Amino acid sequence: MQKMFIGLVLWVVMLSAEGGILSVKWPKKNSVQQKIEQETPSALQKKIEEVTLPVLLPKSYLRNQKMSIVVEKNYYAITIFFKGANLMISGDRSYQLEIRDIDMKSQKMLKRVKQEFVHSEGMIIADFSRYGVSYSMQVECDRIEEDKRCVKDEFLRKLYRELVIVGGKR
Amino acid sequence: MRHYGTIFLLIFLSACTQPKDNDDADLKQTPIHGNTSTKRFSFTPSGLLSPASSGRGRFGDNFIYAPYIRFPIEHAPAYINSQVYGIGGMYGKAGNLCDRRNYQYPWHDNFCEKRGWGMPLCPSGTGHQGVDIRTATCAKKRYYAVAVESGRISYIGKYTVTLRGNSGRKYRYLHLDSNSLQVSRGQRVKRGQRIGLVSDNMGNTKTSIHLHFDMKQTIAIDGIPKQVYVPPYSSLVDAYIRLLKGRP
Ligand SMILES: [Zn+2]
Repeated sequence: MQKMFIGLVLWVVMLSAEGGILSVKWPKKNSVQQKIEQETPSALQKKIEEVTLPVLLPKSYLRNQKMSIVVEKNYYAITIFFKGANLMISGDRSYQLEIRDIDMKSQKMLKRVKQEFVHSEGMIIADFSRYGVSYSMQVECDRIEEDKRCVKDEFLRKLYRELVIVGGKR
Repeated sequence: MRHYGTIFLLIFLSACTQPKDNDDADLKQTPIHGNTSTKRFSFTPSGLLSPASSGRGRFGDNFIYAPYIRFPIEHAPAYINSQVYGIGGMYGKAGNLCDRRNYQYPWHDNFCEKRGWGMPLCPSGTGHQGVDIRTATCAKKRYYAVAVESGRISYIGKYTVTLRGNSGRKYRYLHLDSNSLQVSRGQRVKRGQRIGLVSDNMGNTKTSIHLHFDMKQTIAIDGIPKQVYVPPYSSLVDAYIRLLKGRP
C-alpha cells in the first residue's frame, strides 16, 4: 500500500512537471487587423472570445456558414466543410515536452525542421508556429487520389497565405 | 530531467500494474473477443522494423511519450504490424490480408515504415507517422477503438477522428467506420470510451481493415513550439500489458 502511495505521488509529480502552457506574443493591433475584426461575424467572434490565443482563419472563409467550432481556453479547432473535402485549422498553447527532455540525436533532428506541407494518409497538413503558439491546418478529401486539394499542396498553401487573426482573448 | 520522471513512472507501473514476469501477460487472463489464440504476448524492440526492407526505425528509443494511455482497441488481442509489408500487403508476401500470420505475435513497430511523408523524427526524414493495429480477427466493423485518454473530440473527417487529450496531445484514429461513430465533434470523452468500429474506411480509396493510430505532440524548442508525430510503440506496449492484466 505504502509502495503504491509513493508510486502515485511520484507519478503525480512527474505529470505536473511535464509540459505546460506557452506564452502568446500577440501582435500589435493595426488598422488592417481592426478592419478584419469588424468583418468577422459577431456570432463567430462570440464563440471564440474565451480562447486565449490568436484565432486564425483564412480570410476568404470568415463568413462561411458551414463551420464547426470546438473551443477551450488554450485551444481551438475549426472545421470548414467544402463539397467533398474538409479543412481543419487548430491552435494550441499547450506543450508536452521541452527539447532538453529528448535525446541529443532527436534534438538535432527537430531543430532541422522547417515549416512544411506534409502529406499524410491522403491528407495534406501544415504545422507551424506563430505568435509563440502552435497551429495546424489540414485538408482531407472524399476522393483522396483524384481531388487536387488532397493531391497537390496549392490549395492548402493558398489558404495558409490567407490566414488572419479573427479573434481571441488578449 | 523528465527522463527520470519516465523512469519513476516505469518503476511505478512495474510495481503497480505490470506482471513481475512478462510471461504472466497471458491472453488467457484477458477478455478475448473473436480470437481464441492463447499465445503469449511478445513484441520486437521499438524501432526494429519487419521486414528490414520496410525502413529504418528509431532503434533503442524506448521513451514513453504518452505515459499511462489506455490501449486504443477495446479488447485484446490486437496486433501491431505492417499492413503494407505484411502478407497480402502491397509490398508484402503474396496472400490474403486475413492470413493468420498477420494476426499473431510478436508485434513489430512500424512508425518509421517507408512512406513519402515528412517525419522529422525518423532517420530517413520520412515515414509512416503512426502505427497500424490489427484487431483480434479480420472481421470488419466488429471491434471498437476507444479513447486513449480523457479529452475532447476535436475533429471528425471523412475517415479520421482526432482526439485532443487533456494533456494537449492529439491522437488520430483512422479508418473507423463512419456510421459506427459513438462520438460527435466537440464531445468530451472519458479514457476508454468507445469511439467507433475499426474498418477499412479511407474515403473512396481501398485500404485494409486496421486502425492507424498516431500521436502528435508539441515540443518547446527554446520557447518556440514544434508539433511532431512521436513514436507511439513503447506507450502502446505499456498500455497493452496493462490491458492484458485487466487494468487498462
Ligand atoms: Zn498507417
